[in-house]
Amino acid sequence: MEIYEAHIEILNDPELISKTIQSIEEEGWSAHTALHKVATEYCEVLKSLEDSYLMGRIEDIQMLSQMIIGYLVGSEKNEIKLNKPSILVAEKLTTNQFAAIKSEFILGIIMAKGGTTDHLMILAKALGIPSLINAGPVIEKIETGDKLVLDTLQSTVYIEPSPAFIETSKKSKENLEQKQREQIASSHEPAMTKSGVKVAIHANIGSVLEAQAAKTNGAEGIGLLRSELCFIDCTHFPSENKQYETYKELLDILPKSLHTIRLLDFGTDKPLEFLSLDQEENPAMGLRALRLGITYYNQLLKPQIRAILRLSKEYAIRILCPMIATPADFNQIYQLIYSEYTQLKKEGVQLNKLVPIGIMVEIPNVAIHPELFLDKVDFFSFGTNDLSQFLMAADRTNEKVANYLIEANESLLMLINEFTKKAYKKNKPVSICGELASDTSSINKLLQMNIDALSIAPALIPETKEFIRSLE
Amino acid sequence: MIEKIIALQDQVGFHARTAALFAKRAAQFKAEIQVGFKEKKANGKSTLALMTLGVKSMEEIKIIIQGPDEQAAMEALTILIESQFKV
Repeated sequence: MEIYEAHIEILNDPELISKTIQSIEEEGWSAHTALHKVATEYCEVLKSLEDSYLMGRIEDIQMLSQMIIGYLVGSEKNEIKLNKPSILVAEKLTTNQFAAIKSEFILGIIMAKGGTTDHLMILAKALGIPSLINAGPVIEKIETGDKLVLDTLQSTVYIEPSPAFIETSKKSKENLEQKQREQIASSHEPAMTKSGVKVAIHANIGSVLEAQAAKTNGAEGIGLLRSELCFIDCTHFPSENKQYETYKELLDILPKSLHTIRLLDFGTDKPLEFLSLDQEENPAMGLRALRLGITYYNQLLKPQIRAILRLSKEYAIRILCPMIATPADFNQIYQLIYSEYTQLKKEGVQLNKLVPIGIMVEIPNVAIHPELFLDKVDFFSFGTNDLSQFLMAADRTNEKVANYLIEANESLLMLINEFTKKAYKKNKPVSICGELASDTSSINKLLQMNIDALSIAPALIPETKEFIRSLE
Repeated sequence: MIEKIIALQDQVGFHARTAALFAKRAAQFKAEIQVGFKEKKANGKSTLALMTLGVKSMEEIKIIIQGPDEQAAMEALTILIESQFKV
């Protein structure tokens, strides 16, 4: 805590500020050059003191001034640079910061804050990176360079443990990895209970790494391609061709499988560099996903829809629409997709028939009232994370109310059961793509409901399949 | 204007944490606060400037304060140093 306070003190330092302003006004330097000069002067003086502790503060000053300079010149991404495998310890990491780090360098993540359905956690889980979230003030005891043993099964972190303990931990890690290897070996077999109930296991992905993990771990298809994650690092709107190439790279990893591409779900905790959005009181329920996509149709959705339709010529693709609340929402996006489809044909692009168009069931109005959609929509995918937060009125990014989200499971199962009965009669497939789909205490119940597919993090596929095979 | 010579009795002298605590406390007062050490002088409200003095444990600094609340400021900073920055 004190070290952060020192950072804030440096940022607010009256002399740093006045000297920088002086350098701008009297010497005519630009703001970032002036700051760089002043910060460098301080560092030089500190260096001349030859004090090992103060040397460490030089790094702080350099880091902070580079951060401000980054903001000033508009290139700041708050990047974390790792040059060797490490455990990341932070109060909170953003998905942008995470995406900028080479994931093979991340041995684990410890965050003071956060909830299990944060997008960052979803990403870490997908990549099989051990993570401890909502760890609280313990992170203040950890210093850069400390040896850590992170035990996510016990939700514990050991700081500077004894060599003997490190050895034991290494052994249990090896055993765990051995078990995982065995699970992976059988993960390409279908998931079927002993009594013969079968369910397709699909993967949720948003990057090449995750797609490769999906392939290795035996995904039978992509149940949820979170398209927005592919572009979260972009500095400008991704063009039609950029999107085409990006998706193609992902689809080529599992070229024969069914791919469900969800239309861009930007907003809430996935802010964008190229789109400055007004701060909203309640972003999860605000202008996000298709609501945002339609507002910026020509820049966001149009290029995406065209890219997907062009790819549908060669790949089995379904389009999944997020944040649909009303039949009017669906009609609007359906009309837009259809008009892009006819337009492409007019332009001479050879296309098969229109791809299946489905919706996320993540808004209670849809979950409670499937009849509104059953005739028009081709398939349904339950997004249980957002649905839980709306059912419980508990923000999924706010760790203080995280306990409510788990409590939603029973109601979720009730809603899914009723929904699926009605969808089954109309022959419309239903899949589950939220946390619930990998929750072992819920899977057995889901399997009794005629669910077509469970779509889960790639890293969880082997153990989930093994679990299903163990069921009666 | 008032002055006082006082030794830093904490373990490390003016380091990031102690300098930040000193500057933060100093900034609560209107008076101009300077810290002299050997031939150098630094703005007492600036963490960075205080760190660059390079004051080590048990070394003496001179606190120079000028302004309407100089007495209160001197008292507060003396307490801070004497308590070894245990705030």
